[in-house]
Amino acid sequence: MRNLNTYQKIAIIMIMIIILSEITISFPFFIKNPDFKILNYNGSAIEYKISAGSYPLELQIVFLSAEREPIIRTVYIYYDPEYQRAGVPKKQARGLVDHIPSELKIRKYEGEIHIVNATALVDLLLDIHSANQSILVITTGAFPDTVYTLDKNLIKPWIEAGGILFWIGDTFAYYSAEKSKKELNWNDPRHPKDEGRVKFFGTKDIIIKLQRGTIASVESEYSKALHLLYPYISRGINITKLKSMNGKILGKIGEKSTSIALLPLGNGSIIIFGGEMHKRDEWIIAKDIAQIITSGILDYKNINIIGFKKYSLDRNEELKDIFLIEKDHQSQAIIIFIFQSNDEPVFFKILE
Amino acid sequence: MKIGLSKFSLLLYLNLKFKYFTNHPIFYWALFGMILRYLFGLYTSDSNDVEVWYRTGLSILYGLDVYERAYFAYPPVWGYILGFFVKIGGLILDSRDFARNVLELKSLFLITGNVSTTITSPTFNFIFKTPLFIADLLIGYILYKFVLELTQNIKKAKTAFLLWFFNPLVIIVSAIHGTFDVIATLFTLLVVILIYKKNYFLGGAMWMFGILTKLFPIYFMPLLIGVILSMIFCNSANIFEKFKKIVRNLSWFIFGAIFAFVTILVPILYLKTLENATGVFRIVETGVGVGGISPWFIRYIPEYRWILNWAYNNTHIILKYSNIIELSFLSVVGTIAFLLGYRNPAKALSYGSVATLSIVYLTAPFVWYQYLIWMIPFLIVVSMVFESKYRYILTIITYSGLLFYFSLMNIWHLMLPLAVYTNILNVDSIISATQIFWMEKGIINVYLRDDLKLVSCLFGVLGIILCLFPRNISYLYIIKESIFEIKKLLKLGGFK
Repeated sequence: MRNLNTYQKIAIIMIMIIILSEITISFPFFIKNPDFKILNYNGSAIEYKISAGSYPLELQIVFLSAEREPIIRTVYIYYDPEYQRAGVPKKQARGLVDHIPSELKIRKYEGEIHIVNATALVDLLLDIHSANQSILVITTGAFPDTVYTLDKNLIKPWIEAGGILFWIGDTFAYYSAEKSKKELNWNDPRHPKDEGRVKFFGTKDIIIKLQRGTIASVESEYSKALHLLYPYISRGINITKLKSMNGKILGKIGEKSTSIALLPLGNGSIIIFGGEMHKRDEWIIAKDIAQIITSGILDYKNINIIGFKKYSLDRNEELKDIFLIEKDHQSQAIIIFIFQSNDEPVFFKILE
Repeated sequence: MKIGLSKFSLLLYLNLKFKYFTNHPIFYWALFGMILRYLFGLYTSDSNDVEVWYRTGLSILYGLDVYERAYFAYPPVWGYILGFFVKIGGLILDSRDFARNVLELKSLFLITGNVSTTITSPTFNFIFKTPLFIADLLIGYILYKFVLELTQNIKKAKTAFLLWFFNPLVIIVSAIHGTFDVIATLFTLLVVILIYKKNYFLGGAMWMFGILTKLFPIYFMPLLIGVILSMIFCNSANIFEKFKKIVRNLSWFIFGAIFAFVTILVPILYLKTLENATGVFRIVETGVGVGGISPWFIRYIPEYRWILNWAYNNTHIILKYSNIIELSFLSVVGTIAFLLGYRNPAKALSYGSVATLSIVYLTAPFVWYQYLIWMIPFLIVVSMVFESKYRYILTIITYSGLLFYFSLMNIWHLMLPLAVYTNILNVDSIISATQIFWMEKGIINVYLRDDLKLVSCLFGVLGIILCLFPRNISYLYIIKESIFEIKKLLKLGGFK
């Protein structure tokens, strides 16, 4: 180093910092990871141990009871930049295509993930036999006219056959988007509008329209247990109607509506997000979708949350705890969904 | 006895080193500048950008790669440096205290779209801003050394350090806003000096690290290649010797660049996050905004507001033609550097760097205020060594940048950490102050903020144009001398 000039020394130091940074990030051999272990399970109680690892850990454990094994479904994300969108900016729709697969992979989701355009969507929806092994995410707030118009609806039969649909964006099934660079014409008579919801649910009152930017802040059982964060209800689902249809409130609760709702339809279901998407909301929505899918609540039969616990551990801290299972649930399968509940969670585990 | 002696030698060595540092002409200024940065930086941040650093840093802290969560839409070097500091900082400081979610800010976010509800704490600000401050200091020190070498004038060298280290725009970018342009600037300055010093391998490596931090150093390629070739032609005896040297020096430069590229790419390939890493180019798909301190600022004139929407719908056309124009002008810079660079390589590289960045600013679709700091070190070298007029240009560019940043949202939102983590300010008063500024009526435009953008960009663009007109080198002279060199080259088969 002595024969080097100042600039060479600085350059070499910069190279060393970069290499050291890469090693620290990519091969963190000195970092201890968090861990969760079941110590004992006797049908009526589960004893377990949590270790924080090298960094402080906020952990949430959800205990669910259910009746059958889950199906590993293939996730299809609809995105076609050549088609119009409703209530979803282009950047955010594109962002979901990046973020949903990332969040699913971080949660070690085993199913395949595919991006489909308006043409491929037709093939997917016509394959009714595979519907009960598929999840479709509509990121654009409007179905493309290849599958949904005033006279055509390829979506409903697919859901009734067991498909699961996630809906993000403007009012559910209100618009039919066409292949065009122009913005969607809200007043085009070719849109199904309120009739769209009637065709799906037999009533248009399933959605309560509120002012843009309206947010709900009261936690529901599911939003609290699964740490779901999406707050908007400007096109939220009517809670009274949802209950009458045996649906589930997954999101936060407003005066009369919820920010995320699960509506059963035939053998499948529709999960609707409450109506709007702003800059960086794709980050939250992707996490919520991944959390809902990986928790297994969509696939188990008669699934119920039977309890959840929150922990805040200091670095290297370990603790043991016991969860007592109520008698009603002792004959059923118990699923334990363990996840970090702070920002940017990485530690996930699902046990049965 | 031996242990006692070695302890004594160590103490003596440390004492001598300490004295060496404290006696250095810029030591106390450097110390003062660093303290100033921490004073300003701990309780301020631009939450819109810093939220990305926080989320990326936290994901890395818990075991992910830079791109696994697809938040980070930049080349990877800053992600690695950020991740390293957060990962090490997290071992000492509590990561649960890195940020808070402030729901009251949702209303301000819905109005402006430029404020995050996630506000980082002084702890996190300390961690992520420290590498930025170190880069600030290193640039200052390099400028001091380089100017001293070229002028042998310690006063000028010290002034160069002060002009950089206490430049308000530099302080705002690194200490208050908290963005990483300074790191790319450090690499670019190093490339230029290392090429001047004929360290081609390290020069190539720094150039590639610069590109893998913020892409813009790629535009230096014509200038660098022009100067490398020019310096060889000047110093070699016969044509065979010249070509041997060309191959050797360019090879070292390319090896350096490949070394840096492979170093950066290995973990991305290993962790299979290459697809997410290409998110940096997604702008072509989702549309490009135009404006800022570039000629596109005319969109702030009410009659030309339509340009913004037009640009979003015609991204491909804009990128295609701006790249063609940019490359044409940069090729001219490269050619001049090749023909005349050997006469005074330091001058060619300094003026050439200023010209390169001026062309980049004048042809880019959008120039954010922080991009201006890329040019500041080169303006300082030119003004201290070759032409003092550039100090005035430096002043124009600095203050137009500051005014542009102010015009975006005023300054109050930058103090959100102060409001969230102390009782000195409260969040509601920041929200109302920002809302008042946001709705303030303008004279030319509907809103004052657009008027301020117009004025700041006008002055900024004028400053950038002035960079292309040095007082002591006329374009006529450059053309005459270039023709002379071409004739010589054609006659003799190379410079002699």
